Amino acid sequence: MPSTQFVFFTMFFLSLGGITFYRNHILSVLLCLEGLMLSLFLLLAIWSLETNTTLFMATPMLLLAFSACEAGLGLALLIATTRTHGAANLNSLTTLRW
Amino acid sequence: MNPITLSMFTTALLSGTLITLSSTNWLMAWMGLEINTMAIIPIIARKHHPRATEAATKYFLIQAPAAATILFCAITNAWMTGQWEINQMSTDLPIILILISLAFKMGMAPVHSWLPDVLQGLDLMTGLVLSTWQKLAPFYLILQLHSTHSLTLILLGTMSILVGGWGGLNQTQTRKILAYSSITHMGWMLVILQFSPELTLMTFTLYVTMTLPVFMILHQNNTLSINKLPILATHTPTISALIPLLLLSLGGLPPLTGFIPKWLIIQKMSHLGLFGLATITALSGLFSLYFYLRLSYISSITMSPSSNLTTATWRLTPNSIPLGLKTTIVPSMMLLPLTPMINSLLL
Amino acid sequence: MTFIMYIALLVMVVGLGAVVAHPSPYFGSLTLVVVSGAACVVLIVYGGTFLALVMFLVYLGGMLVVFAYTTALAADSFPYTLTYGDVMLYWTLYMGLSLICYVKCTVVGVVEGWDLFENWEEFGIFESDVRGMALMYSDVGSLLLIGGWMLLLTLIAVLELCRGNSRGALRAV
Repeated sequence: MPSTQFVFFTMFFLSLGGITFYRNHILSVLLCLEGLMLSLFLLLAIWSLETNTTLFMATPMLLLAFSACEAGLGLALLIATTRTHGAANLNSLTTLRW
Repeated sequence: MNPITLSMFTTALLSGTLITLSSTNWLMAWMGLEINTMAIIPIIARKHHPRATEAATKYFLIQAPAAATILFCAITNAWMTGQWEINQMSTDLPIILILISLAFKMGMAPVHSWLPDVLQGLDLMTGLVLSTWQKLAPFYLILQLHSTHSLTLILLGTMSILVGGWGGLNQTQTRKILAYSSITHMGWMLVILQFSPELTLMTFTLYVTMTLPVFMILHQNNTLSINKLPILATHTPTISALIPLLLLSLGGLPPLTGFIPKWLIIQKMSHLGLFGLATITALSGLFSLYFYLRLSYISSITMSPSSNLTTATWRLTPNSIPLGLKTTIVPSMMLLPLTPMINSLLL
Repeated sequence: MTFIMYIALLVMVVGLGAVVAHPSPYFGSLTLVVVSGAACVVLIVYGGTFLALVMFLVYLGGMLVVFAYTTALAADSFPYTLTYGDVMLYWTLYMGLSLICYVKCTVVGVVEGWDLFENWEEFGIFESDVRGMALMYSDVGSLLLIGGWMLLLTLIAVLELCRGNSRGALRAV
């Protein structure tokens, strides 16, 4: 595994750790999700560029579209949560415990 | 929700799963999973009350990283081997990670704790969709990876059975109990997966058949917690007589349908000489039997004290039994004599 | 070119570490913009000029929206900047952890070499990624259809989630 690939792996796992260990603002979690998608985009794009697979060149675009969809949905949920809970905090999402 | 919008999301829900089911490529499978998530979230948050919104947010925050991890493992596999096919994964690390993230999507044991929470925020019909149809796509992907990493599969399976049983013991909310029951059944499926994928498929089918009438009955009478279960006796007396059988069928008692998968799974394991595993799974099934028994005890084995006025509400408003309930309630109790047929159809 | 590549890779990891250390969201989104800029540089060096362009536009657009959201929702009177104690702590922690992993992997031999695959010659329309992108309109057109349908679905889902009197505006009254 070349070091460049290690860099992308590090990006992915950093973002995943950021999502996992953070309990405060939903927006920060959504930013981490964007970082996750960025590293996936890079991995996919560079894989198809290195192997010169023309058929796979379009897939990073689709990934980008899907990650944009996810980001949009996340922001909508953020708004909905702010409206219903009064705060966009992950700590305040506790009504489902009972 | 506007029926046109609802129909659009339902179509997307169906086609997302179908895209995953019909794909051989990890990328398409991932797309199907994403479409699925995208379609179910407005349906989850349909009622717009705080609990529904919270359930939708939690569901999204669980599913999105899980799907991203699945794609990450697929890309890693492609970097290592140049292979995008689902059933041709060969490197260990991506396989283990992908199994765990698929289990995450389905809500299985070490990564299960979102499922009871999310289910608690939904009405029961959406909960039914969440615990059956939504599990189909990740379940199918796991089914295709059946011969890859046996230790992970066994660990996920046994932990799910144990945790599903333990978690449900002290619950008083029917939706949480059903969530834990779903975790347990998923565990049974994963334990047998590498030895006989057909048995897994059969267990899934029978689980759907058995859990459908339970969800529908609880939905029809709006019984969201255990202390509302005695209502069944006054609202729908016939169903109240049947619900202990249904619940015990879910728990896997012999003359009922739920016994088939447990019987065949344990038989298969003992044929293969895995007596320790068979003992662990059989014994930990007792945990879930305990809470099914408690549910059926409260719902119809005892009569709760009530005044004369409330005993006969079924006469005033005749409850029509929905068609889906009628058709599933019989096979969910009485399929045991047909075991040879099911066996020859699926195995 | 190699030097630029090293710098870009470094900016990517360090910047993402800063995002992950969770400063206040608008610092996070600004940092993410820098990270995506560096990612574009990496992509260009690898020869994916069109992909880099598209990604920069999409990420910049998306980050603009996120930035608007963050400034609209920002309620903290003492925002956590990048130099705030906790953020700095986590940032250095994450960076140190990544460095340890890297050193460990190089010692074991899992990671070796740099493989700076320099495919970039000229900016042109005959790069391989442009050809691949053209395939999106012919051979893999069904994927384009699915992507477009997904975007439409998102639009309706977002509308459905944030629709109605009490759910329209950003703030609870």
